Amino acid sequence: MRLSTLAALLVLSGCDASKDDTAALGEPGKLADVNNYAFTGALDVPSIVTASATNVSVCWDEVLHDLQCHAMDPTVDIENVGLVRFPNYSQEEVEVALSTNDLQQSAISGYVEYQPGSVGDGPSTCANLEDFSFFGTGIDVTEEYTEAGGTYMLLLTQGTTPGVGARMITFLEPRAAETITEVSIGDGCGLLAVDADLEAATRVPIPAAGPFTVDWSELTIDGQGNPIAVEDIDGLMIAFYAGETPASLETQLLDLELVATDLYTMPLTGATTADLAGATGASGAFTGFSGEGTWLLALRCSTCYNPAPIFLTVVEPT
Amino acid sequence: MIALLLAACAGPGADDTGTSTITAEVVPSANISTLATLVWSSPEAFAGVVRYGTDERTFDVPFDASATTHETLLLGVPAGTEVTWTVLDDAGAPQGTGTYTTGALPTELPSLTIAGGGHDQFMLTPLIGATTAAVILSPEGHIVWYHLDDRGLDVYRVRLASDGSGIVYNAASVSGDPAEDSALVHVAWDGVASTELAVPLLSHDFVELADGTLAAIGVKYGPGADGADVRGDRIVEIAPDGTQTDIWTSWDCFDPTVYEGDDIELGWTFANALDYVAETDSYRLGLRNFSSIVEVDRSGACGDVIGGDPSDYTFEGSRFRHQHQFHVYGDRLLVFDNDGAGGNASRAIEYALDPVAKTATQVWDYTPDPKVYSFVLGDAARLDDGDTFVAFSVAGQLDRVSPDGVVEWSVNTDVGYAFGFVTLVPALVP
Repeated sequence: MRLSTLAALLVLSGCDASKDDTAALGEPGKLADVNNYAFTGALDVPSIVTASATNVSVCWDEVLHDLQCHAMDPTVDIENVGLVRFPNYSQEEVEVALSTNDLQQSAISGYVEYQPGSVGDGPSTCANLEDFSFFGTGIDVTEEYTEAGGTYMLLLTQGTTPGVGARMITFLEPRAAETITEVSIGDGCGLLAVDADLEAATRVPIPAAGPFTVDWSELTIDGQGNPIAVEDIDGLMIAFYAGETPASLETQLLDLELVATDLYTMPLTGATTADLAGATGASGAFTGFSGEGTWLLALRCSTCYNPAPIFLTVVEPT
Repeated sequence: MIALLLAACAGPGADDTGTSTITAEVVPSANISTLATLVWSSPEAFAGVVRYGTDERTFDVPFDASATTHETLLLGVPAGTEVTWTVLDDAGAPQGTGTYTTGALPTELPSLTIAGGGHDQFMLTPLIGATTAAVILSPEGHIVWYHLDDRGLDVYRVRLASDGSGIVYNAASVSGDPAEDSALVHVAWDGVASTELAVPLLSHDFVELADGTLAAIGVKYGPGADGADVRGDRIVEIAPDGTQTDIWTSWDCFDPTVYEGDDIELGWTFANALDYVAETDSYRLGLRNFSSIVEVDRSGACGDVIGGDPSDYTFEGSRFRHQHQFHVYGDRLLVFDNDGAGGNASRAIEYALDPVAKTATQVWDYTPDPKVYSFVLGDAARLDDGDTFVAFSVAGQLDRVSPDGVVEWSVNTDVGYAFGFVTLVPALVP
């Protein structure tokens, strides 16, 4: 089954100023909604039909790329497999909630997990649902994994914190008429399609020689137009892309870290301001803007299901 | 962390009262972004109150005339909020005022979705799941204080320290084997000073008695029905001098050959909630696998059992199953019932108790629509206005519901974050 969900388009207002008209730019370093890119995402979570009310073996050895189509090693990178049950959500509703980072704990009536290597002698890429547990409580598949139980989602994550670090997502669909008890999760490429608009956003002026302070205290919405919680922002990226334009980078949204010429990042802990001089990369700390190309500034949420930055803008060194 | 705006100014009316103006500085906590200390002084000592707060809520902290320099903890306000403080003399005249803005919460804490107007109690609760922390929520549902715990154990209960110095929580594990390194942890309000009381094999709950004695549920292994060891429970008391004494074990009340309990793979009795009853100097202990609540004298003697196979009470109406926290209000018993409603739905259920006839008659219950399931933990408490506070703990949902079942306020966490038990208190300091 292929399912697709489109998040709402962000309609930016007051963004018709010329990109070359620095007078139309805002206050240096001030990040506001008008500076944020527009993002739409289509998450196409595959669904795997299995037998109902019985133990099922699930393998993930074929997951060689994650949801962002980044290469991965399923024997190393998958450190936790969580099975989540949504009693009142359809698959489509789960996809919408994932896309908009609007999934609440109360929507879940059950969560069990399996950590490869925690059973047996070492890392494995298969697990039986009967091996899953949480808070010391296992899963009785005859009662808890049934066609009538709701929507079941398998979440393959890097790291063992529940819900954080998703590399692959798939639905399991128990059906009473089916007899399939061994299933394999496929590759993650092609499941997440994104469409970003960087050009329409007002660029953010920052003095080329500093100071490099940025302030997002007045930012209220993310790239999808959803309200943000400032405590969700836990990382900043400032990156230079030699020879690239905002338009060319729009098509590489999921690879911004991979294609950067110079990449600087810094963790954030609930702040609403930062000094870019504190960001570091392979060449050391960020020291200023230079080069012919495009500088992008992003604010990220590593615990959100949607991998797109909360905030992304083009920096206009002045 | 955002630097707080510091303010120091003479108070309007200072000259009117003849009291000297004050000098003041708001010093933000280095550890807790919502916390600050007002350090202020006056040329002459006087008594009064420091009033501080937001549009939502104000606090009065009294001070006496014994000193000219004071430090007032500005506790209980949400993150990212402008706070106004005023020093008032005992005639109510302002001697100084100012504002500051609290910082943002750390990213480890979840966003909370709040609907409705709250109630009148602060809520002390653990966060478990993606983050392990002890937090305090304002009556409206905002996080106003927090302490992150990275020791790798879970936290199930947070209470105020009886001396008003901060909070106490249990760092323990009920997932799989209990932890040898479990502890009761005291954290001062400033988030810096922290002391631990090592209590091996701690479980879900603890209470503090008026004399400073702590009582906690712990795991105890002993012979089961077939003679092999099973996981039972104990109540351990920790005296103020640190002496630890097991005053009760499961075997004091129950015979495993008579009462086997549910889900033996989790444990035999599986105690999961503890209350202290000052009037009778006894405890009430919830036993998940028996679906029972048992009274235990501090001498270890067993009293009435309500619920489950060992019940001394007969039930009229629905019974609770695999319950967690409960409260007794006079002749009423309010229980968070994890599984009694069936169908992966949890509820709050209330009974009228007749201790003479030994009957428990169901008089009220609340099941959310859509259903919410907390397969472990959970709490239900009656508020002064007759509404009921219900914590669907691992579902990350807190509700205030009216007697006729209308949800008047709710808080929800993002997926991945759960609450533990919730302790309600009217104020954070005595």
